[in-house]
Amino acid sequence: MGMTVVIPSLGLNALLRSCIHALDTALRNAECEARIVVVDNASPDPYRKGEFGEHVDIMRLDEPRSFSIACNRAAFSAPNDIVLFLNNDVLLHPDAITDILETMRETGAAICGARLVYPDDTIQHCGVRIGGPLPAPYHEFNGDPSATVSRAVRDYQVVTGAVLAARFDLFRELDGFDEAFPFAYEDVDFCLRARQKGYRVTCAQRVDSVHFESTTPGRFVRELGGRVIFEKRWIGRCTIDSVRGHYLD
Amino acid sequence: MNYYVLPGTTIHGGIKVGFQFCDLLSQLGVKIVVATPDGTAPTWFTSSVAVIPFERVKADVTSADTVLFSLPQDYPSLRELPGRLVFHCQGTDPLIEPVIADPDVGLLSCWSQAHDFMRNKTGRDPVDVGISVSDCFQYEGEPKRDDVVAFMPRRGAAIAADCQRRTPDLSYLAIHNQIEPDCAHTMKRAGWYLATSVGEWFGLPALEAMAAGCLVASVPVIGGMEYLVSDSNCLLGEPETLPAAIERLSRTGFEEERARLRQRGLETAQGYRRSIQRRKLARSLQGPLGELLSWA
Amino acid sequence: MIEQITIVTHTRNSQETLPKLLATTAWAGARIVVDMASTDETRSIARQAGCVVLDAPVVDAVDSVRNDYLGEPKTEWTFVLDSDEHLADDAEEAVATILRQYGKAYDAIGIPRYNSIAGHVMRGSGWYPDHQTRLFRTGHVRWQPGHHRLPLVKGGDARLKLLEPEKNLHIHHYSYTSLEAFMEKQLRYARTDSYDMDPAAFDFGDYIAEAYAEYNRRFDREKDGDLSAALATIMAWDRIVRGIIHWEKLGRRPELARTFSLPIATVPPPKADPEEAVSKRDRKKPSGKLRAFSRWTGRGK
Repeated sequence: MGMTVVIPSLGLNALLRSCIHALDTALRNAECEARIVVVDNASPDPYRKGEFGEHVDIMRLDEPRSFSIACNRAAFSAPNDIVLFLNNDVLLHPDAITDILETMRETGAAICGARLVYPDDTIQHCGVRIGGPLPAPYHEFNGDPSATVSRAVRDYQVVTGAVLAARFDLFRELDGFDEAFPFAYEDVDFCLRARQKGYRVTCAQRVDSVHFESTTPGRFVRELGGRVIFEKRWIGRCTIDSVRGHYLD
Repeated sequence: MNYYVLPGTTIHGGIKVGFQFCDLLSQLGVKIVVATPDGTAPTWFTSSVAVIPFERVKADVTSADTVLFSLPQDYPSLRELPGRLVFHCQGTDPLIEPVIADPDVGLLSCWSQAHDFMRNKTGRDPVDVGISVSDCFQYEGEPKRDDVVAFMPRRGAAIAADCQRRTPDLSYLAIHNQIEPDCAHTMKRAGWYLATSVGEWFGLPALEAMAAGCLVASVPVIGGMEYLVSDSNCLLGEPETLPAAIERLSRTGFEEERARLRQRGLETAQGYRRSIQRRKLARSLQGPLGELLSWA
Repeated sequence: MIEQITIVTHTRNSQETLPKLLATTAWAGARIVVDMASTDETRSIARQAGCVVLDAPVVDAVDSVRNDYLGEPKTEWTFVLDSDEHLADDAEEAVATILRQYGKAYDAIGIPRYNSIAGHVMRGSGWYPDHQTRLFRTGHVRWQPGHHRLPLVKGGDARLKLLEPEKNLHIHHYSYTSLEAFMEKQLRYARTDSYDMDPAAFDFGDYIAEAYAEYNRRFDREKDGDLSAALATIMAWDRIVRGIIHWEKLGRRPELARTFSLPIATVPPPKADPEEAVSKRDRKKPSGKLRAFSRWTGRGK
């Protein structure tokens, strides 16, 4: 089983170094043959060859591109059995990749996310629910202590792109992330399109990886454009799998 | 690939049952999506199934696929498509007879009356895929009012009106065009549920009400008689006699009887949990259901 | 004397209850006491009564080891009694009649049992008649592992005769002197029972369903009064406790289904707004009454 890991990144060299260090351990434990492609998304100070290890390819983009474009370019340049998209602010648990691969194998899911916690051990992500009545994606159990959240494997419509493993044949079938999304919601859109082909989406739950979340400057403002596209495309066209947002006591 | 074709997304039990069947199959690893005429998805109940427009089915379906449907009126147009046709029976009115007469159409049943009907008509054994109650209806100890009656005025409103006249001390709460979580919210707090739709096929709302801890008072239905047992887990009566029976049972001195019917109704509903239907489908996928579906 | 019967009893520190059992079974051709390392007078009581005493390892669930000793009786029939059970003083005649009537056509006899709980002999609530398959042709019954599983008769239920409760032999079981003692025992059984360790087979909803079924089965106020309600609640909660023990044994990994609440209690309606109450009652009456009430509450004009 071969894997290509794509890490889009802008600056944050030290954090990226720690991210790759944790990734290396996780890949080694999973006994997974992997290519690692870091997309230097117009860092002001370009990443140097070998800066993160000789085994890490660096794809340099001089103009800052959207997450979709950066990830697509890297993924299609290094096709493999599985493509794993990884945020530079995620420190994978040593068994995270083993967990993802096993979960994909056990469930037959074509897309699998990872269980992520904040540094204080509360859940950052363990699957995304679509609340209603407007389709409003949100991270289920976000903020709850990880110890209180079940580790049962659950079906989801969506998982976050911060750690997203997908079968490459599916990725190709869907033409990757939709590059119309300037920033955010491309992962939601990708998963929903995969669901429309009948593929299963799930999230590995056995171990917790740490996600610092949103350390890229200016993130929240940039999400708005993606939100508009997402709503226009998906309002009334995706099912609601959570009661959150409906009228209740 | 498996496509489940539905005629729309309005508030109708058959739509929900179809989606929830697809949800369970998807959780069990079956590739399945729902197709609606224009690709709109329902938002009045929770589901994780993807929805596509029917045009996409027509463009993409191949002979290796399976097309499921539950509205008999869809049969003539679906018959023209390549792929295996499977009928998910949710009612046994005469319209289904040409559908089930077609030996190439696979048959699925949700309840025993429909199962027996199809078997007797065709000589074939339909695959029993069951039916279940959404988890959101399971009673969790919400404060429940013995004097509140929930009902759906969509059909049989006159019966409800008659009951109201006879029992002015009870408060009648109409559940009309409500999304599922709101419906569950109301049922879990109501002491009674009044089912007034004569000739209803299965009457899933009454079973949902049982799961919600309601004392169910119902007119006779067709498929639902498999779970409605008069004076054991519910109050059953013809439209002419049900109001008087409710009035009697609502009187002071009948508290224990009411409590008994609620408890037994809740016990009955436990047999229709979602997880039970999931286990049934998991077993059936190893056998007859697995043979009807597409694994392409 | 009924020579063709051997009584088999498992004991562990049973000096309080064993004498009554022995006194009511002296007619048996042989008696075997299988003792789990008693530290009281159990063994000497048994020996003095002429029983064969066998050593057995201490186990939580005696049903799991019963089968190991069912090969000991050399008589045609075996009669298993628990150390906290006894028979009536006319048991010898009753057993002889039973063997005469049913000994050829059946291999096992289901005997109704009186269960005394907290000083009350239960007459309903699933506690009676509580048939026990204890008298059987040697070698024709096997117990299943775990607590209180039904023993299996070789040849199936067709070879089992259930005695009519009326005017027939009974086993007398006086084990729980209080509800507290009863709860303690249930918890011990729950903690020491065997559980399926396949996580895929776990469904907490099954335990909830069993709880409701158990409550409804055990609640019989007509026959056993308030005690029935107490026991029904304890037995229902026993199912829930077992589900949680099971869940913990599985590493708390599977999801727990929705919370359990039993029984359904209704709450009184909130104090009605006086105006609303009046308007509801007097919907079709002249509004003069409503205005008068409004003057009293100070509302309206």
